[in-house]
Amino acid sequence: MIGPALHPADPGDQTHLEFLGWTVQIEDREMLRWVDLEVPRGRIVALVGPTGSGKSILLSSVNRLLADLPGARWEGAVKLGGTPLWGRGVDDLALKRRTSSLFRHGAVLPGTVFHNIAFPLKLDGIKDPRILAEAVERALRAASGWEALRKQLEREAGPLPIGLRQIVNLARALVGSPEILLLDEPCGDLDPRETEMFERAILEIPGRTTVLLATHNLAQASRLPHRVAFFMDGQLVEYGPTDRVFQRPLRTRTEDYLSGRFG
Amino acid sequence: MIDPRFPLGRILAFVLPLPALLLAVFTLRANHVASPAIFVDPAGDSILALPLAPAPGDTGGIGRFLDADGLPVRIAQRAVAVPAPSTWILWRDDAPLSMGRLSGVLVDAGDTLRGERAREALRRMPAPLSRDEHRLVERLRTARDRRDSALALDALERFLSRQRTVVALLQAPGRAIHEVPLVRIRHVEVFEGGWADGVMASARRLWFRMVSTADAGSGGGLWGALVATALVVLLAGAMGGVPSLFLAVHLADQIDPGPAVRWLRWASEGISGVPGVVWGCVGAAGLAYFGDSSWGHEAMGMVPGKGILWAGLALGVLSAPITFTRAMDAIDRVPRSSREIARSCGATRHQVLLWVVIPACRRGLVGAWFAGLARAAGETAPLLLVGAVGSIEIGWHQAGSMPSLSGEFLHLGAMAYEQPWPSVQAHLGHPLAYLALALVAAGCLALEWAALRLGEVRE
Repeated sequence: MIGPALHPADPGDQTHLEFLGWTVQIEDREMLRWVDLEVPRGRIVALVGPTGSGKSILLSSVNRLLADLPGARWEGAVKLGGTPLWGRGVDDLALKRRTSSLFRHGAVLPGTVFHNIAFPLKLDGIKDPRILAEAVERALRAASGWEALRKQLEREAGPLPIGLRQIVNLARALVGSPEILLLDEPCGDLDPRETEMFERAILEIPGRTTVLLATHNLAQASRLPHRVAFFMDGQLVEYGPTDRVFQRPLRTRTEDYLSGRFG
Repeated sequence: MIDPRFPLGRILAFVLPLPALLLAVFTLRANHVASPAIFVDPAGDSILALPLAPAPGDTGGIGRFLDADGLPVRIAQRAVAVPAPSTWILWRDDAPLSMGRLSGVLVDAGDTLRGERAREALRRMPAPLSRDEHRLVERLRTARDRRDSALALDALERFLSRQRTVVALLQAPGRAIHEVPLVRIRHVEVFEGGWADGVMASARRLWFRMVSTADAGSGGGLWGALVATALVVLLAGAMGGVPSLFLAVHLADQIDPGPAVRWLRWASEGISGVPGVVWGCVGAAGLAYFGDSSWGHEAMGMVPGKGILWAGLALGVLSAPITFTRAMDAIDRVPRSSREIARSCGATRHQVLLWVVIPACRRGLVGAWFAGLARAAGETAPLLLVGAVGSIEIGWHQAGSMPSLSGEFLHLGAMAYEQPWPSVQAHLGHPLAYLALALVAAGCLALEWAALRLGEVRE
């Protein structure tokens, strides 16, 4: 069964990721304004909103790719398990190890499927082929792609169909057992069958992993997550449990967006 | 430009040089028929090429030929007639090989007799043969029957060792008789004559001419040009192509492709349109300035004058923008998201570059390098200005030796026309020129093809 039932909402949620007055500017354009958001540990939280509403910037504030954007400035704080992500002198590498990201277009790294999945471990200097093989298998099983890809580990990842490429990417994201998984419209280019396969894989991710899912697909946003955050023009408009947001939105803008009146 | 995915393009790439090659072979054959004059070999010994018509019914034998006026000609006082007909090739150290029917071996070469005097002398032919001469004829006959080149050479050498002046007379497939001083014969080949053999012989002859640069100052031939071209192109690839590859990769490393990158791209696209002759002038100017200055001589090890190093530098500058532009294009085709993935995994910029960007566009980078080579190989103007005269000590004998970088080298015109022949016979250089054309066309097309193949985007 697909739905939030696998990750039942729990009143005793711990805060895992926290945005405090988070404001981001890129070359004088305000991308996020004063975002206050708490993400509970082990839950799936969907970020919805029209294009340019700041969802991707929010994700890149967590995986620290924001630092690679030319002309980016920020204010406020993002805390991961209480540790500030953007303080002075933070350990970029250590923080990146705690998060994993998956992007929209199904791009993969050059090289084989195996190389793609083992890439983070190879970056860490792990060379023992047995350890790598074990980790790759574990990650592929966690991403529900072992059956489909076990025979193609030594093939180039580039020519695979996009659905399988995203599974490969998911396995790579999971290989380092991250605390937080950041999904930036992972099903944006997938057809419904592939989307269903991918959603199944996400729901089977071990429960301790927190998932932030940016999506345009409102049906997906109503199926998968425990909580939904609605963004518009860089501002957090509404945040709450999925059922409540979809059935009884507090703000008219949320209602208009969710009912398809714009966006 | 030929699209490599289009099969016709591949075919053309190999077919286009063929006409020039065929032209080379057949012009060479035509030369035998048409070569009308006396020419002098580099050592100063005479090689006669008289336009003679065989008298009807006669096969071989000295003196049984008529000159252009229809009068018999004798070119020696005593001669040994050798078995005929068969085709002989005499490989010589110093000049293009001689090929034809060996019609006689001349002993004690004397005056050339013409007209009535020749007719009178012919009545006394054949003169009685000495024992040595008998033995030579016998052994040459055996050599012909067995097609044994070694035996023939041995016979000639033994004979030679007992005589003072010996000249071999060769009747070419046309009507010319070559008089080849036997001291210079290095190798003899014997085979039955025929059309295909003639073409084969022409091809061999062409090859021999191509490589016969015993002393590039006098021998001519294309071998030196080939080696020098390869060297200059590689130098250009090293001095222009490699730095531009590094520059392109380095710029790919930057977070923000700022105005510097935009300016560089704009500039390199502009520079790649500059005609080669301008770079030739730049190279020549640099050579005049640095090459002649003691600083350039001492600090750079550059010998004053025109040299292969300067030619390589000029071609390198010329081909660098092409390599740079294509390398940047190849790097740009690496999806941004691949880099994002690696960055999000915690890869440093260098790791992203070495593990993701370069592996993804490796073929494109090599293709860019080849594109630069192709441009450098196809560009002649800088070479005419920078590397026009001089010599490279490369030849048949010194095949293992390498030319020095500051050594000068010959341009094609000198290789094909000036060096092997005196000026009156410049037309004999046509086959070499055609051959060079074929080689240059084939080389450039092959390089360009490689560049395109490697530069293809794989999806």
